[in-house]
Amino acid sequence: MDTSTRPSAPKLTCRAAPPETFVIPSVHLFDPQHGVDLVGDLLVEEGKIAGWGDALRAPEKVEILDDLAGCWVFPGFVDPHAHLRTPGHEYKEDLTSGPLAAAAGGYVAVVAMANTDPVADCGPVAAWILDEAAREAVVRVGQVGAVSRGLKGEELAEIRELADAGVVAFSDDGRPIADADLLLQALRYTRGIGRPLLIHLENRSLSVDGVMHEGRWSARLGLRGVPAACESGPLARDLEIVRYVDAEQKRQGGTRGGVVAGVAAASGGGAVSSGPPAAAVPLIHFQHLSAAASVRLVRQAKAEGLPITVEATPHHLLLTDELLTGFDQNLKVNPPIRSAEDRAALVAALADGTVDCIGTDHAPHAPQEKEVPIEDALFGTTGLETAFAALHTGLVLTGQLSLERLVEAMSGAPCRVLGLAEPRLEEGAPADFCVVDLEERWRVAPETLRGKSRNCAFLGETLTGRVRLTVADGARRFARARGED
Amino acid sequence: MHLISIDDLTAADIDNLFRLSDGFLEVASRSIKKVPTLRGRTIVNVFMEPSTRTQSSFELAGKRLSADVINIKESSSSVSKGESLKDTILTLESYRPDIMVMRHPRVGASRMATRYTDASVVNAGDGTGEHPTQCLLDLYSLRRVYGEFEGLRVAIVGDVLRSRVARSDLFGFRKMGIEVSLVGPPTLMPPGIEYWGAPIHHDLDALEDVDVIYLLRMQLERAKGKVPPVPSLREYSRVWGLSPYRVKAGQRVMHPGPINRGVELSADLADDDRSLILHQVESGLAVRMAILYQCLAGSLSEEPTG
Repeated sequence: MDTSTRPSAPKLTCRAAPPETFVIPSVHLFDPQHGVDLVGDLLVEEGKIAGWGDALRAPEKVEILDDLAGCWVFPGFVDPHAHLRTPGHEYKEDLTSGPLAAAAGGYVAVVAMANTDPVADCGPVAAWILDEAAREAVVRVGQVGAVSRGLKGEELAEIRELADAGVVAFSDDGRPIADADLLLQALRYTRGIGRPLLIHLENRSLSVDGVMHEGRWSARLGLRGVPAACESGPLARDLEIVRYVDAEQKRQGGTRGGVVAGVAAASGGGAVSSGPPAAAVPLIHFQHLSAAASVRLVRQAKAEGLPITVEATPHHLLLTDELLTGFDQNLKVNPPIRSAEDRAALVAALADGTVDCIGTDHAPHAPQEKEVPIEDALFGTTGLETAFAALHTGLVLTGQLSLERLVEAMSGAPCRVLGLAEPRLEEGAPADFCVVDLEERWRVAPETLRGKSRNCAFLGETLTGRVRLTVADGARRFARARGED
Repeated sequence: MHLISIDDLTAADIDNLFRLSDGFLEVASRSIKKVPTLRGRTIVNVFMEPSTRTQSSFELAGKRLSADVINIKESSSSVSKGESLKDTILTLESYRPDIMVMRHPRVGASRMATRYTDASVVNAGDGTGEHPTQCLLDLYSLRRVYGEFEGLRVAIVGDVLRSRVARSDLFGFRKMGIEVSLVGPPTLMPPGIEYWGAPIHHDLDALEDVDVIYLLRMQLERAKGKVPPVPSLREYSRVWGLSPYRVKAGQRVMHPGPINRGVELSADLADDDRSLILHQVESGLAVRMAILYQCLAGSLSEEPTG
């Protein structure tokens, strides 16, 4: 009998697929974080990266994917922040459509938030989702457990039970943790479990009925605004609490780390083997940062060495409040798209690492929830299918961000936030990568999207860069011919 | 002499107390269990919080020493009519008692009582503060079982945060040379306890190398106004509850009582012969007789068990 009471490892699950063997000729292999930047043929053998170069000794009769020449191969993307809406809101997204949208965006793993119905606030709900994903999902799904019972912000959810069910992190995302004592208790209680809290910053007394960023354009349009302090205020409080708990835990000794599992180590049936020990995960990962004031606070906190990480979404990095003049409900998001100055600060922060990674906050909604006056519309935009192309178009091609940094922020960085082994283009590593045509231009239209909902902030935009193939857990999970929608 | 905190005693005081306790333990085995040592002395037991063990133990200890013992309980006292602690103590002081034994839900209440009485005050538990006589009886049980303290390893498991027993035991056990570690959910470790140098562990795996597992009850009644430190008793007992298969051969289990079967320990472990729970109660009577004697030792001429 196993008498250990240590928490078990996080699980990421997807549909099992037989490990594949194939060659992709003449591609640009690009994983600078792990020292790979070259043009050649890529051999995948039995689901593992077997080698690359000009004169590959491929096995006899191996399948050759010869329509991808000239494309770039990146380590697979990992989204630390998505809403897959299951259970309870399957009319918006489910565990088939959400992971398919992820695969279409080059993602090999996606982390689902806990604000489902029922809420993922106990072991059985989380376990059910992971089992369901093991039957339906084309790429891995990691599940987040609630911090508080019912997301009510009053008392702790059964966090140890959730950890043992395999959740990758804890979050009340969609709602802030208003009660400082709850946050303090949660940070202490998760010690030793090795999984971070993902925090949605929002002072609800400042955001009530707000539709957009409070500033020049909210004044012009007459829409109720949400001030930047709605985010930076609670951030300042949370940083103080992190500073306090971090010092306390250092005095107490030991490590924060728990059991490490890998995106790259997960296999389709749901089993996860332990990966190499990663650096300790942050105490708090702040979600969807939007304001320049918040960037300043994070920069100070990181200079001080506080164990925090930060994500930004493609829409906050690319869009500004002025766009709300069109009253496009898909631009109504929480936190709101902010001013040009805020956007510039976020982009600079992503470039210099103050913002660690990209999280999409993929938030699908049904037409009836969006096709209403903007004041009544639900918050959220989808993001999985457009994240890379939009950021490549808006930041890389305009010279604001390097391609290397973008790939890192979408692949390795989110894995380090969550303590997961990173996908890598490395001989012997599990095949977890995407193949992208960096030149293909496409117009984001509802029919180009695989997800169940089409409430995308980038609808109508023409983007450059298209995911042509996603290989996850050793098998092809999504493929698109050149020019296909 | 007052006994408010375990820090009121030196290791030598405690050794001395246990030599006296040996004599009183012997008295308890006689057919006539009473000695005349405190004849004519008055002991007031003031219990402002529910208690089975401590109250009955002190009452019996006083009676076996032939003292006149009266018991004041919150439910039947003027406290329920709004009387302040100060006035209760001043009122009882009018009887010129020799010893006042006090249990109170507020930290520091016993120390406060010393300001209003000339009697020796013995702290029988003050809120989440201290419970020095529990510590002494625990030590005495350990001494009876193991002979000596040096080198013993004890893990205190559970709700350390709200436990006066844990506070007295940690400091009292270490005073006698016992290695003490604290085990439980991080939220049940008192913030700042790390300054006091006891190793802190968050999983029962840490029990591997100890001789004695000292369990604590979850004190839900002391949770008012705060976010509860653990999500549920179900989760607590699943992760930190002790059952026989988690106790290694040769390990002993202690608990100050009252126990909650099925929460901090399984029902079958409570009844297991590795449990010292009832042994502790027996030790308690002898130790409390010794404490009452020692409180008045300076003014007594007779030998305790004569």
